[in-house]
Amino acid sequence: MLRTSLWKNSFRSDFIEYLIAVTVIGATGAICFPLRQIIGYQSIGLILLMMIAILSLFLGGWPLLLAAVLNVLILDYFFQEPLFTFRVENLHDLFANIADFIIACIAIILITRIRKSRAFLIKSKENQNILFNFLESLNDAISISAVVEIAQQSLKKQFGLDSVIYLKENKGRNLSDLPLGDTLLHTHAGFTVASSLFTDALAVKDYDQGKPGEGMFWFSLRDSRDLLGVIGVTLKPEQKDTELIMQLRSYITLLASTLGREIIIETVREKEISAQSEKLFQAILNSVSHELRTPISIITTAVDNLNDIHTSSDPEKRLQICNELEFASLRLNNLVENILDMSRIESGMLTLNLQYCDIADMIGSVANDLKSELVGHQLSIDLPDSLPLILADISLIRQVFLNILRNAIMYTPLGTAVEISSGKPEKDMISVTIRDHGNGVPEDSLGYLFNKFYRVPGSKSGGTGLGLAIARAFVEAHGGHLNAFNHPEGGLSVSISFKTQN
Amino acid sequence: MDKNRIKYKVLILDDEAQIRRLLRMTLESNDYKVFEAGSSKEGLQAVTMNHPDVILLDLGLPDENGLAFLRRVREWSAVPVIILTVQGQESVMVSALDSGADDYMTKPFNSGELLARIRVAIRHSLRIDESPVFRSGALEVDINSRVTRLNKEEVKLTATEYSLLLIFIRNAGKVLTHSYISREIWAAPYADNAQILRVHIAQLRKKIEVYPSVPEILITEPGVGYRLKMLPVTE
Repeated sequence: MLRTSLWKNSFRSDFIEYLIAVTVIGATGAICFPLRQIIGYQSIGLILLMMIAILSLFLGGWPLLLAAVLNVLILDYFFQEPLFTFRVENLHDLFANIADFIIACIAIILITRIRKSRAFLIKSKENQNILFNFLESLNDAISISAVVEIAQQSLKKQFGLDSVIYLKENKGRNLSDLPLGDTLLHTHAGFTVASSLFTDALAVKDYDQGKPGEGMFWFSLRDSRDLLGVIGVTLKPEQKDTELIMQLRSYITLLASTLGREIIIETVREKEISAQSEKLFQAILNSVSHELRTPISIITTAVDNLNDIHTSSDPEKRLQICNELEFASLRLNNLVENILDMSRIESGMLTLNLQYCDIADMIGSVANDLKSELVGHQLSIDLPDSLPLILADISLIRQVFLNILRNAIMYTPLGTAVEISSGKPEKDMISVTIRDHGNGVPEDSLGYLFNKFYRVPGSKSGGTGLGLAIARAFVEAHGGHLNAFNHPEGGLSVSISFKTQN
Repeated sequence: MDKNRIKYKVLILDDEAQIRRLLRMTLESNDYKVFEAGSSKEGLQAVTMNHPDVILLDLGLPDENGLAFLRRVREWSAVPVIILTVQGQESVMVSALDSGADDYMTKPFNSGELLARIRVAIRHSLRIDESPVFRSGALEVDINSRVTRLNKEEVKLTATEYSLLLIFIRNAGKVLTHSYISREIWAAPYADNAQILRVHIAQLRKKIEVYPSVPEILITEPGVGYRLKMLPVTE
């Protein structure tokens, strides 16, 4: 598109330029004709030469050459004896004419050369600008797909070309058949051409030949380290010229080096993620297996002790062992409940069995259930009589309060208070806050508190980091929110808000 | 224990052999005679042949839903049935209770609690131990003179509160579903009265509980109903 219009433009200007050359030289000759007796034909020769010099400031090479030829002819025909013939009788005149022509030609050649190099400079400056802009937009891209998208848009804008990119497979030495960029350009035949180009480029280190095929033109994408893939552009055979291909090539080299950078970054990122998830998995395995094994080993030991007639014959000891057994099985049961709840959440099979529910009543019953665990803490409940009802799955909401209260009991010193209170009902929400009087949670851990398997660094052993994650998932399943913050006067506050039903 | 006393018979209907063994151990050492069944079919045979005084029924049976078994038994027998269940099945519990189950226990359960429930169920079915004075914790209700006392001090109850309390006392230790209570008081279905019932329970608790926000006597069984607990009497 760009190139056809340029060509048309230069043709039109050429035509006008020839006209100007003929007119100017002709007119100068006509004006000088009556004056030939006064100033002499040698001076007129100089005037005409001067006109050519002036014309050379504006006109192109070929019109100027025409002007030079015309100049010599006019001089010979109208001004040199014998007049109105092209015969040259005077040797002096012949030399003058030849010199005239040669000077004109040299001027023309010089001026054309200067222009050409200027045009070349402008052109390369333009190319540089295009490349620079491309590079600048590429620098903003922070992923492979972003780079591909920018390259695609830029190729469309600068060259009017659509493009499709195939990258090398992560592992192995083959081209992945997943098209990037304009995926509509993906055809099986096109991919075959791309793969064969890729194989060629793999074999020869400096292979940078483009390859036509399937109505496209294919280039290898190679950065300084490695062959990355193949790009295909919708370049028609008739559009193809060396200059354009060279321009495209520098474009593609730039694209390749950026892509190479992003591929490396992405690989590093993937490695980091997998290392992290492995670490997380290990942590989960450690905490869950610790939590499972502890009560089991307690049970085993307790049973051994009961089997020992010396120990079990002492009623006090037996009672103690039985208490341990009971506590261990409760702990095991809590863990199993948590794991089951979590898998219910994870599997997306969480369906709510909604009923009207009185939060104060529910909290009372939870507190009653936790009585044995609450022995070392002072629980105070301060809820107004007229809390609005919520529509909720009662067993899930019970679990929410159980988990949060257990957390408060477990991680705070014996003898401290746990307070349950409610904020003022707002519009259609009510909130209940459970505040403990422990050491709170480090500010930078607060954000992770409800993450699955997260445990505050340095907290005492026991617990899997599931309880609060489950609580949040259950609350959010009801359209509510769960937040934790450190109370200004110490201790952790967990606030649960629910939608109310009227 | 009175050696000459006739032993009460308990039928355990559970598909887990280990649970049956453990329950048998617990019950036999507490002077019950135990029969076992692992399926609904065996269970029905055992009910007809052995005439148990209490049935412990697990809802997850291999051949038939425990609920269906319950309905079949209820067609011709009023034997107390205590449901054994796992957590999170409150709605099933409610329908089991409404289909005639007497009580329920959530697994894993404390055997002391189970024995208490069995005693309550038998007492209710045989209508023994109906003393005119009910005592639980700090609460004392003299049914003949209609006087209620908390920590030896008389509390004034409204007519509805008193009749509500009386329903609980008559079913002391048993879980009562919302709809059962509504039917007993207002002879009306549950949905309309759930709110009103909640308010009455809250008011009643303020009068008969030492700490109304953490009730100990009139407790909530979330999603199922309420239960009047039999606590050791405080002096």
